[in-house]
Amino acid sequence: MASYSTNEFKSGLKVMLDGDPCSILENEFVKPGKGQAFNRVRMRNLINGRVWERTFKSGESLEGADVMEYEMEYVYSDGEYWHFMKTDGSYEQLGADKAAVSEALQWLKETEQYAVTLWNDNPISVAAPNFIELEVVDTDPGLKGDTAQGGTKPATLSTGAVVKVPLFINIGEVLRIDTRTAEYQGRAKS
Amino acid sequence: MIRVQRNTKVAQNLKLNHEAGLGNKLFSLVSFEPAASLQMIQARAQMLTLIRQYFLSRQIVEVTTPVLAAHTVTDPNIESLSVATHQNEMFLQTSPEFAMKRLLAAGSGPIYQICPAFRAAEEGKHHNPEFTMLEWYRPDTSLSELMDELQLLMETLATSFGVAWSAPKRVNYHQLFQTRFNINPHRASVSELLSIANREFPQRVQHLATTQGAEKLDDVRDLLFSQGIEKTLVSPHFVTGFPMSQAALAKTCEIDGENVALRFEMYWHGLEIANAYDELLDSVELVGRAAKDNQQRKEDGKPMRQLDGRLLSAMDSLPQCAGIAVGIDRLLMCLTNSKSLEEVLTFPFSIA
Repeated sequence: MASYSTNEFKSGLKVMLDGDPCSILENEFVKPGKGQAFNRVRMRNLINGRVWERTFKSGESLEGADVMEYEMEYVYSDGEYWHFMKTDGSYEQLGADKAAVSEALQWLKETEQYAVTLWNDNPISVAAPNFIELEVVDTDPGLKGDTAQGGTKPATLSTGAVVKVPLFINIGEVLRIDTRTAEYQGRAKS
Repeated sequence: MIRVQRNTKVAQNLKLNHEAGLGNKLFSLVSFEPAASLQMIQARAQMLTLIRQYFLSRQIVEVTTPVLAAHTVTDPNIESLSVATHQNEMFLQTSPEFAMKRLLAAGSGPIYQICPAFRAAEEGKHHNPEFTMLEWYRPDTSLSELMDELQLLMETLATSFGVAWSAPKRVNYHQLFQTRFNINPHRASVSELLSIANREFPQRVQHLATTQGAEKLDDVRDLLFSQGIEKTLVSPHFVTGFPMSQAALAKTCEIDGENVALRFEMYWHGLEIANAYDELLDSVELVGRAAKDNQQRKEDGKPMRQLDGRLLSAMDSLPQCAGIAVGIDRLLMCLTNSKSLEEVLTFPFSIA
């Protein structure tokens, strides 16, 4: 893998730091008066999602990280691994462990597509689409006619996620959910 | 419509190149447009005109000196771009200082220049490897008189651009550290300064790990100054009393028991805009500083830079003078309330 010097640190570049792949978010060049230049760099650790900030001497370099993102279809789970299939026509399947799927776990639905980040061809994170349509499998009975009131109740969806929904929603209905906030957006258009 | 047809023609030619095995190497289709707006380009012209009028009215003569020269600065923290010429390796000047001092030594009297300057690998929101410098020198002038002359130029520009300007507050390096960090930057040890840096800026100290000795002392001071102080200098400030180790080609002296460089910097909007020296006249001292610079360069694994013999021989005829360099791209940012250099440059480095 090539290495990159601080002046090549552009937003989105994937590099290795302390053994973990990281994605550069921001790189600020600092050159105090007569002094030695340095770079203030913000980056996201792609393994644990945390944002790091640290400085580098200008001209210092880091090894690039072999990180690729693919749109992949969720196929099934064997309890230990969650299996995804490439949609580029190769039908290649890869298993992601619990740490990698944790963010998307409650939104995993078969045949739905997810953004899977691979590091050295291993899935390290899985991101759900922003919106997903899921069926209600459990909720208190709907209150007929009461569509104007603002009240909500919990509903369990087919993936196991529990979201707040309006009182008129019934078991069996398919809802559109914003996965970033876990908020009910409306009934799915059939 | 004409443009569409022309682009189609270009695309066909690109295809021919490709088929001829040249790939897209001869040229590629990318946007031609400038980064700066047309209003900004006019604003720059206005600024340049006002600067020239100002110096004309004060009988300071505009000069032109080579941008490409046989020698360059020895400063360990300024990297020059070198150019292979038909004769030998030459350098794009990081400032017109050496050539202007040769003119002063020849009896030019007060002179100024507006020219491009180059510094390798300095690229960011406030840096571009090629930038525009306004530099002027005045024989028989003190730093305080030069401050007044700069202040008047700034006032003229700010008034014309309709931006707020106030007479710069004169502060010294020591006071700034005392107020912000409660420490004397001249006397504090590296470890005392480092403990402040670790406490105040824990995520900005990693680059210090590899430097040592005297260099480390200045690196830590620079970190505290750039991260803790610079950004607070929003209204115009003149900062004096920099440590002797940061003198470059300024005289040094003892003030209030501390060895300091006889120079000042002007800050505005948290940015270093200008840097002025009471110019060093001592050729023995010049040779000594160049040797020290090269020692540092060697330790840092940077190329050695031979001291310019023509500058050296000019030193004995150089009159007492004060000199100042103003980064006028940054100045234009301040005059137009711009947030980055990209807004004020026609074609910043990335699209040059």
